[in-house]
Amino acid sequence: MPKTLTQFGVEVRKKRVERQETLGDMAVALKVSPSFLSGIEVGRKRAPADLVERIIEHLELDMIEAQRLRRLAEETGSEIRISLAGKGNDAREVAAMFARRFSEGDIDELKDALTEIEQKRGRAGGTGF
Amino acid sequence: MERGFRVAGKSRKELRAQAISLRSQLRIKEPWFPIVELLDVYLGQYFPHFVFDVVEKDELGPQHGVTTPDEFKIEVREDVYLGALAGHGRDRFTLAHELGHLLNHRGVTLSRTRFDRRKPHPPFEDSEWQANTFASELLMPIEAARLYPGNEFRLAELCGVSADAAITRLKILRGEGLLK
Repeated sequence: MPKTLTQFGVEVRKKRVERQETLGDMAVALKVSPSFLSGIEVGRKRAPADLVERIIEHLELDMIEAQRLRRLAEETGSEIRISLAGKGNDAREVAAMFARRFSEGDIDELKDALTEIEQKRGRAGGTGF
Repeated sequence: MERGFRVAGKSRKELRAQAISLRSQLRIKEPWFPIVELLDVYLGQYFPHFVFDVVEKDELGPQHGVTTPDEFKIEVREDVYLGALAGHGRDRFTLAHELGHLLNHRGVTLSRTRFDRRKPHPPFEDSEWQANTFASELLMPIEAARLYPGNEFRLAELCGVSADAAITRLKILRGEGLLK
């Protein structure tokens, strides 16, 4: 299993969870299997163009967001991928923090800490692509 | 009993505290724990790098789920995911079990059905025992068990677990003197 996420998949998942929708529900709406949709989100599968359009429609994206998603879908085809391997430390850091926080702290504190990591990554970004 | 890897010891008390803490932080007061929603939707909102991957049945083979804590990743078989979504106790338990690995077992790739025939270790140092214990504590809070101390079927229905899991849970709590 490749340790790669695509920007397209990450974006689809982000929009889905914002809508509080499960993979199962969205898969039914798109008439695909949950494993296929999951594969698209984690970068195992590539979404054909017509499915990209159905996803855009389902997520009720505005024109600008739709355009962005189409572009990301095309970039996925040219193998531009976010490597998780390169982010090993961050992933580990988050996992460790996650485990720790759930045994002692509260979720707000966790969110703050997480935002900090995301910002740090944002600054360091760019190099991974 | 299912045997897994030898890991740092964790007592039932510690795993219970962890489950209670998780419930309280998520502000879940009902007996039914929304394990599918937690893994599939909620964690993704707070942890964009947490990977929850539903894979085709033949990809994981006999394994119902595989968790790689260091990659912050849980993979589950599609039929198990759909079963959990439909509220089937055994599949919901599998998801809670994988969450137990994610929270407690960094440093090794773990699976639901892997056996380890190295020298025997005590249950509280066993990865599978810990994951099962965590799942049981998370899905069947003591308060719920107290509602129906003698009726595993009601407990199973209330918490979305199998009757077998409920029987085991009641037996353990009774053994601890926590049920009348």
